[in-house]
Amino acid sequence: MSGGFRRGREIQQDVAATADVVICGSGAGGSMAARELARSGLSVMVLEEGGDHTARDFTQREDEMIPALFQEMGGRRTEDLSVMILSGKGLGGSTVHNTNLCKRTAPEILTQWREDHGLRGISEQSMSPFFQRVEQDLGVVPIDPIRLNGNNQILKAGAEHLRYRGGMLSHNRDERCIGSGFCELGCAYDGKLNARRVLLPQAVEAGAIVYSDARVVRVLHDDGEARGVEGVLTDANGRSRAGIRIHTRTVCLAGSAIGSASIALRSGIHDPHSQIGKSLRIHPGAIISGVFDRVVESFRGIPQSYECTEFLDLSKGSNKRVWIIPSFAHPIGSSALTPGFGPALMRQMRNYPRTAVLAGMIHDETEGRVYLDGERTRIDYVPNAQDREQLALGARESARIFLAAGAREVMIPAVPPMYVRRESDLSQITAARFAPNDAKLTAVHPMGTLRMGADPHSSVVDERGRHHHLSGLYVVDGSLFPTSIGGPPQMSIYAFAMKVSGHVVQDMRARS
Amino acid sequence: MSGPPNTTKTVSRRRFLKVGVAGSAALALGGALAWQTRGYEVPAAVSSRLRALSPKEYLIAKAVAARVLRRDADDLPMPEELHVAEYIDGMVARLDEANRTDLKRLLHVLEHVLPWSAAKPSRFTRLDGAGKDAVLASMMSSSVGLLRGAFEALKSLCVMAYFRDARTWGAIGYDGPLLNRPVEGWARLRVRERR
Ligand SMILES: Cc1cc2nc3c(=O)[nH]c(=O)nc-3n(C[C@H](O)[C@H](O)[C@H](O)COP(=O)(O)OP(=O)(O)OC[C@H]3O[C@@H](n4cnc5c(N)ncnc54)[C@H](O)[C@@H]3O)c2cc1C
Ligand code: SF4
Repeated sequence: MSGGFRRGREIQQDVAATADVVICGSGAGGSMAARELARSGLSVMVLEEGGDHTARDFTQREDEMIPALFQEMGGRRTEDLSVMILSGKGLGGSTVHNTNLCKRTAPEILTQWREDHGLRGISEQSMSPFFQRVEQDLGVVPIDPIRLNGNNQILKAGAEHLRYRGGMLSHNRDERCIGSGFCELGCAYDGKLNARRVLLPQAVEAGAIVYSDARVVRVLHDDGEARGVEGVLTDANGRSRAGIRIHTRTVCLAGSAIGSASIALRSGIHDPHSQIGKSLRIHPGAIISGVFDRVVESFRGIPQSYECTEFLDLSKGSNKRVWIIPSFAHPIGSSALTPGFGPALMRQMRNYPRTAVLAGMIHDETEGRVYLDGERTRIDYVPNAQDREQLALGARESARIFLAAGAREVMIPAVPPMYVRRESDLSQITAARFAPNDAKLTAVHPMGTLRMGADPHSSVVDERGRHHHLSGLYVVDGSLFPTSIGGPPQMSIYAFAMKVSGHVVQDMRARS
Repeated sequence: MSGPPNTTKTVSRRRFLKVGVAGSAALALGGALAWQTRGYEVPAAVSSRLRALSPKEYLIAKAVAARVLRRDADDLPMPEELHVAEYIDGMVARLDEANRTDLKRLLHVLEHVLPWSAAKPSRFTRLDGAGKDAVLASMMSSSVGLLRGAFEALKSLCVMAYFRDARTWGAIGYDGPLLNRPVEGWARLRVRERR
């Protein structure tokens, strides 16, 4: 099969085709699976609901890029409106607008998966070759300390002053990155070695056909076997223009934890233990801003390059589950997170160039849920008491770091906002202030929902990514994870997608 | 492992909107049948351009934006100068149907129901500035989490429509997209890591 990129918005008529494998979604997991499966000689079709955006489309304007690159135009929230969940839409998925941090899955997490979820073949050692290949493919390197921008320098200075553990992170950018600071809006300089730039072209070169503007509605199945997928081709605003139906015996779900669970639920797949959509983890984070007397200009330079891990212990039962990293936004994002309205809001916004922002992202234990209400996908996620303690710990310690770095004032957006000017103010930051819709929470790492496990009573797919009940259905994205991973997920998703792809090939060979 | 059940009062988005719509319906029954549209005239040149909002919804959105984006000094532009309400209409037009319906309902609830709960028994658009601020403040700090969330959603639309405009950037010390201007010293640093 000769591969290529096809834009649904340019196609007027219904499409019907046959392929060995159909991949639903083209983010970290979908792109990796597309490349691996196409390279193994299978005919592969990728259906991606978002558009195809590349460097020349990225205008560095929030009003244009957020609606184009994010699900629900960047306004996706949990059902009670209390957590904003950002995830991507378009070829390359969330890797197009992510901030390129790269970390392997922590050994402690892999151990838990093995011991608590029966994933016997998963260990640091067995996953290492996958990580090595991913890191090589995506050019992962440590970030040079010279790239620390104002915001990251403040985190480093504060953490060092307090003797907190921290260090430089690794990333997948190359020399095209000029440090513009616009990562979350797509890279106009094509400096990101992401799924759209690296993996999808390789998949196409190996013969994959990749559709953008192609939303999968459901997986077709019969007699316990996958038979194909059905969806719609859309215009640039996501409105349906034509139908698409692909016959296949192998389907890989890669729509991210929310999208893949929605497809599975819409498809009426046998789910005797009601596991589909459960166990959603999101790494929710509280945002903390520090105002300095000097100009910081956090919006310039690589947005995230330093981490504080003093409060991050990923071993089971740990009560230190906070990852502190910089988290600056451009004016629209910043003003939305700044409390208040009218003149009070405008006065705060005048501090914009003197402000640094940290996020205390937590390795969450709360299990959220994705479910359908008619055709509409809904998300329930209410942090439990232990996680609210962790959110408070993250906010408190971020505030302490800001004070140590010389902040004039620290603010935690909440109702009412919490202001910290001295150490003694830190005691007001308690778990009670992290009730839903009190402190503002943001999440950018949806995971779980179709989790791996040996026991079909408590999981959706097995260790090979294969659905427990529907033959020919696999999961290759962040939905796979049995628990939160407590760090940037893309490397884990790429690596597991690579691993599952190998199993898909083996299973298909065995079947034929 | 999940912790103990959360005791904080949470109301689902759908339930809140149903309550809101029921409240609006009660008002409609109690008043004249024409209350929904009377007094919401907008110039034909504006109404003909609206893509998602009705003239009434447009006026409610405009009234919200005028208060949310009220400036502290005159080096920032007025929201009307930037046609913020028209821009919000364009954004609402691009939302999927379910979100669009929710948002439009929210505007009606804000107009007819929320002023009463803030002890301002009038339509939101007819309140003076201080009255509108009181309604928005009560929403922002409501004990019902969902109302606080709804306030944040409205505020997000307003700030998107406002801070998108380059005329707001100078006053807050932001210099806008780097594209189309000379790359300054800070940005010339390239990745030097050895591969
Ligand atoms: C602002 C931001 C910054 C981040 N920074 C980092 C970082 O620095 N490091 C890191 O490791 N991670 C980061 N992440 C997270 C990381 O990018 C994601 O965890 C990862 O990309 C998820 O991979 P995925 O394959 O599960 O889903 P995604 O990459 O989100 O891809 C899913 C794709 O499926 C598509 N889809 C959904 N439903 C359908 C359907 N029905 N039909 C067809 N297509 C569908 C979506 O449109 C999307 O393109 C960040 C995320 C955000 C939002
Ligand atoms: S910081 Fe680098 S990778 Fe990010 S948008 Fe700018 S040039 Fe691209």
